Amino acid sequence: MRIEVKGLTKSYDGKSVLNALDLVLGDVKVIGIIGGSGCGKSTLLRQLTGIETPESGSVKINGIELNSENLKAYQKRIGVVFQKHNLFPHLTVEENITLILRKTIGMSRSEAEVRCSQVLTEFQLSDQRNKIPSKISGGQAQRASIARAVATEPDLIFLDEPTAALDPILTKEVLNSIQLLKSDGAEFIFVTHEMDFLRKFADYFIFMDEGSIIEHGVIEKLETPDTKRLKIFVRR
Amino acid sequence: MINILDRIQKTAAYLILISLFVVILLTATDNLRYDLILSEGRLLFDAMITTLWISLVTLILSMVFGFIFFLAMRSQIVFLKTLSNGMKEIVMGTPLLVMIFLVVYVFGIKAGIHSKLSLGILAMTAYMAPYIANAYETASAVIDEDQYTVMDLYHFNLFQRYRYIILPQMIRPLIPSMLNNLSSIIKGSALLKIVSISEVSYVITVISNRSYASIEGYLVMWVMYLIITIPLSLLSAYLGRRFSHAN
Repeated sequence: MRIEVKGLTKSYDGKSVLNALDLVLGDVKVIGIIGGSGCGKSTLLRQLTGIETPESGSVKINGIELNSENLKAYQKRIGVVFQKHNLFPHLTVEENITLILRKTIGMSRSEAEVRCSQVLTEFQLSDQRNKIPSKISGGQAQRASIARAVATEPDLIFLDEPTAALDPILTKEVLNSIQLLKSDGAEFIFVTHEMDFLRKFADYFIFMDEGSIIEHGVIEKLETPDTKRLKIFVRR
Repeated sequence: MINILDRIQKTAAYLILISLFVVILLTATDNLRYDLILSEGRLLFDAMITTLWISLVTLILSMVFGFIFFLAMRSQIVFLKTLSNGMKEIVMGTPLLVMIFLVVYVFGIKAGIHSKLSLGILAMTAYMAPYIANAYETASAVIDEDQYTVMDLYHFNLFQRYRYIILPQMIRPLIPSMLNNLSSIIKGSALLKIVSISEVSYVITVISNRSYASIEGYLVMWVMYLIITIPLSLLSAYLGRRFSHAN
């Protein structure tokens, strides 16, 4: 993937969350955005997905600058996994996936069911397909959320702290699913504050603090940080 | 032990209420002549049916117009939002009696509509729609922000949002509220007597005027409304409990 961010600024209630970020990245497969709580990493991810619009600045992904005209086409080509699973609570796991496939991608019911079966098998959720989210574990629900994001065969997947709301056992389940994405060669960007998660999956890291990108580089660079703030963060 | 004590207290409270009710019915005045009212059983029964169907039609129409109101209240278009909220304040501040007069004798005459029954139902609908819209608003609170984020992300259109996500989740919390609103409509329909629609209140007023038994008339009217509204209220409470347990 290629990312170009120029002067990206965002604030909530007058409090600046992203301070005129600039970033140019080319040909990276998996990016991990790290930083402490409230550093702006989730906000940056939401800007990259187009879920939120910047106050000023621009975002270009794979050569396409996000704007109101191409947002719909862009968002059809991405998948997003949120901190909470964000599945629709009244629909079964299967319905959560097929609804998106039918209404967003325009698949027929039978095509959607076939595609849904494929992803549910891939993420070992076939036996949970007819259950609503409240009847499955948090880990299974988050895996179903990943399956939903993957089902549309997106070019790029975004994951916003997908294990933050889970206990260690359920986290392992979800990490296995993310491993599956990596093995399949998917391109994805994730947000985390866990170094193990970052080291395991990312090829490239972006370290943020107080709304600014402090340092970024290939994952090996984490062993020899340039800045004191990253050194402290890595050693935590 | 606590359970048994609670039950005893409940039973005692109910017994006191029922006794009080019976005492009022039997001692409201000297020489009570319920027979003068109850002898018109057939008329009373027809009136009760009329009240019920007027109320049901009003509820259905209020649900339709209330939904349009609700959509306007949530609209991104400031004009629609302001207009609907302004109308809501005006209607909710208007007594039903005034609303019936306005619709039947002002709107009805200007619009050339002569059916008092239709105008009566229209008045009740206009009165109830904002309350029903509020019930929709409350029920829609079950859909959290995260679900809207997903709907935005996948670009669900307005129809898809309501058809597949919002309405199916609103139905459960809405049912008890709609039963309560039906109860309010039934009680409110008593005011339709001012435009001579032959529902319970009007029919009893006619019978009691004819037989000079107005106190008995009002007491019978009271009992008739309670026969309808108490089961509705109990059903609403039961469904509310059931749905909250299910959630």
